Amino acid sequence: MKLICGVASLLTGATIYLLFRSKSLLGFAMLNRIGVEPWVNRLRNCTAGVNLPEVIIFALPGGLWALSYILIIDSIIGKHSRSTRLLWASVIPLLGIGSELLQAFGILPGTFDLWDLVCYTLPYIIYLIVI
Amino acid sequence: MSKLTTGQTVIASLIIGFFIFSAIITIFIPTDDTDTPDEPTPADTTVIINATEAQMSQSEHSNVTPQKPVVKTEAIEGDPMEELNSLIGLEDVKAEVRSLANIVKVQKQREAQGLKNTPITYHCVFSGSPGTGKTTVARILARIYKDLGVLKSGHLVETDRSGLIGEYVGQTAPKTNALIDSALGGVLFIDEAYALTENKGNDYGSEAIATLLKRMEDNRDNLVVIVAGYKDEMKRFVDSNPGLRSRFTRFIDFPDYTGEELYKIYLMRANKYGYKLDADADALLQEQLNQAVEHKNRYFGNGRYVRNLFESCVTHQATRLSKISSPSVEQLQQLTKEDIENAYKSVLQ
Repeated sequence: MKLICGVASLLTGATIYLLFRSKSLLGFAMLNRIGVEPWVNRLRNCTAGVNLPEVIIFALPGGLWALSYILIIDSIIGKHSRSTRLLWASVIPLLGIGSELLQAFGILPGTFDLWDLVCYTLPYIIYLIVI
Repeated sequence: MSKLTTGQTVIASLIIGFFIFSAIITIFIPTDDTDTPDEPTPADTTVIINATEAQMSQSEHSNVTPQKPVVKTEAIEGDPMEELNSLIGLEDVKAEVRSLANIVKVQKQREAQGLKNTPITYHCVFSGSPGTGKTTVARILARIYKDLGVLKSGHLVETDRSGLIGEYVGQTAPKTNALIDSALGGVLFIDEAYALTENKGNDYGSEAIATLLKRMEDNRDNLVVIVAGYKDEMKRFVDSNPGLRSRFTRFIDFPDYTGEELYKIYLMRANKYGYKLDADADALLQEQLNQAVEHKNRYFGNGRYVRNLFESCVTHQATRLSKISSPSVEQLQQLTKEDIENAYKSVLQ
């Protein structure tokens, strides 16, 4: 169940990227290379008139990415001790949170966004509570 | 802390690797544009109008907001820069277009030498009153882009709000998409684009803008968009949306024509159709065009005004000549002071 939810979460985030984010990203260049760009364009054209809030387009995929990792990794090591599960499940969310904080302090290039931080942190905090 | 089995460690590590990889491809932007622009194809040969004609006949209507259907003008053969230079007035506009063309040319030369280029935007905002030559210059710019290899065909698809907005929910995005599809490889010219952000009882304008912005991103290698309209309205239009603001950074202002420039446009038109002005008519025309410019309001039609004035002159000449049983060739060509006077009154009405 955790695995299915994790994959669904990952696919949702990927769909948002695919349909609503800038095509200048590296991922699109890769899709272009493998020749699926026409299909992607067709999908993007279908949703071209959809106006989603910026937080959904820019911050939510990061949160779904962290949530997805937590769920998938926990589906594999869920039977281990709390500390082991916590250690492994922390890797990706802490990477997201860390990169966001480093951006805030100007150490990493990019724009700090509070919503990004919230989206990375929220699934991690929920996991800490429920584990 | 319990230890993972080797299998679990490998799978967990692969998962971490996958997630890091997915982060990289969704954050980073490739530094080199690996897409090779399409080779320009030979120009389409459908000749619609030449530049001077275009300048003389910028619209069928004067001082009226036209319900513009979608007009597609194919690229014509010939040197667009020469045509640009042949336009009457618009000196600042010509300088802007030449400078833009120079930037593109140098970028292409740098590209050929394997040097990196700073990204430049080809999209433009043409601001100015009606009849100041915005559409004409857009047609020329489309051809310049084609000649420089920026666009494949260099045609111009001209529309306004009505060409983008659907009547019912769900119609706007497909309609806008279809129009953009027809403009690929050329220039999409949206006249009075500010009307898209005016609230007219629905949000279809925003839907059209969202669609347009996304397609500008998706088709950045083969679509140039030019939005046009009054200066203040266009400024507000671009400022109304961060997506528009970031994409439309090049403003070209089209000033109103002076009385002398309007006079030259009139003469060009008269000459083209084989009409002549006598000395009195010529003096009166100059005086009245100067007066029209002095007393103009923001809806003054500029080039369109001249066109209407000329057409009205022709009508009044015909009325005058109808009283003569067999007019001479000279009479058929001559426009008199009386024709100009009557035409001016008609246009004022």
